[in-house]
Amino acid sequence: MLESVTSAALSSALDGLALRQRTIATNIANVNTPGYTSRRVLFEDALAKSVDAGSGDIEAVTARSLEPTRLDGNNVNLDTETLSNVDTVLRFQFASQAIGGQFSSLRTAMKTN
Amino acid sequence: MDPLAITSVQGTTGTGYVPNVGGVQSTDGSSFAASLTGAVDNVQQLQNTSNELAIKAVTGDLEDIHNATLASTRAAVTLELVAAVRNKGIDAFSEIMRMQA
Amino acid sequence: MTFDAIGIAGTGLTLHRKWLDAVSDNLANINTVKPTDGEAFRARYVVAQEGEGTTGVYVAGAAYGSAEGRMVYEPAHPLADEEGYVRYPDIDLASQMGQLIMAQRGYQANAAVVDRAKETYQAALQIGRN
Repeated sequence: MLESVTSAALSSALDGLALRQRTIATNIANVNTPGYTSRRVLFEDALAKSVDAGSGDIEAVTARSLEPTRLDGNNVNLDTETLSNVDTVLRFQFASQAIGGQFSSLRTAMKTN
Repeated sequence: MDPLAITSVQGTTGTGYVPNVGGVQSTDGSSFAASLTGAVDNVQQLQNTSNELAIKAVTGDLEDIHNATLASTRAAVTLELVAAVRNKGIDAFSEIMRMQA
Repeated sequence: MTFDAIGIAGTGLTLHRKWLDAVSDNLANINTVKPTDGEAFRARYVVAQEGEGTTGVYVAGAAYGSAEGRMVYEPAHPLADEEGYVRYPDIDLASQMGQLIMAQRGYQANAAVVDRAKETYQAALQIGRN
């Protein structure tokens, strides 16, 4: 039960979301660095496919954004990054609770009387 | 002669409708012991992983803290599971001993 | 690094704070007069550089503005030369104010990242606690 597809998928999601959090932090730290191209983390599509295939165990990938750059060669969009950051935090909180819930269920199932 | 008097019963033969059932084989109890041992080893392994990750987390070598909390929770829950199975086993054994007394 | 995102945001905070310092310095000296036999007060810019991998950003160095500055005719000034000229810095107020706003915005954005990263790590620490 601890090795189910759901458990693997949630664990992969946590890894992907944590990487995304670090990537957003890097983008925002470099919001005014000339020539810096924004980075994104992708894993949701790969995860969906992997779950359908019965696995749920994937690695997230990082890609560079192809958004147009400003005069200094920088293309970090602070609004997008901020929204993405809030979204990532909420998803991470959800995934943590979901995976924690699996353990709680297991503990409840073990209790007698 | 009394019609109800029971005379000796001659040897009977089976009708052949119900198949023969073999005798009950006694188990040596090793397969349950083996799986319980396997589970205990697994707990040890999970505990080792959890300790490793905890050390990495506090020395600054761990990128994702959630891996450490996940590992420690897995180790704890598996241990609880093994303990519950062992307790149930002991309870069942005591129950049986009580019946025989 | 454990709790990485906080460290990365920290580098962003440092960079933007240094930028704010430089701009404040430029603004404070916007009317600093220097004699013509030396350099004018030169505006300072912070050069930002992306860190390796995911390590954020760091200050690669400083760049300086014009050394000639603006030659202004002020014969009454104590530092004026024989022809009555002094050097004023070649600093544009509007441009510096624009930079100030950008530096502040960048600083606040990085500060917000620290808060959000903390929420993420707290959620991770709650896993398995009933």
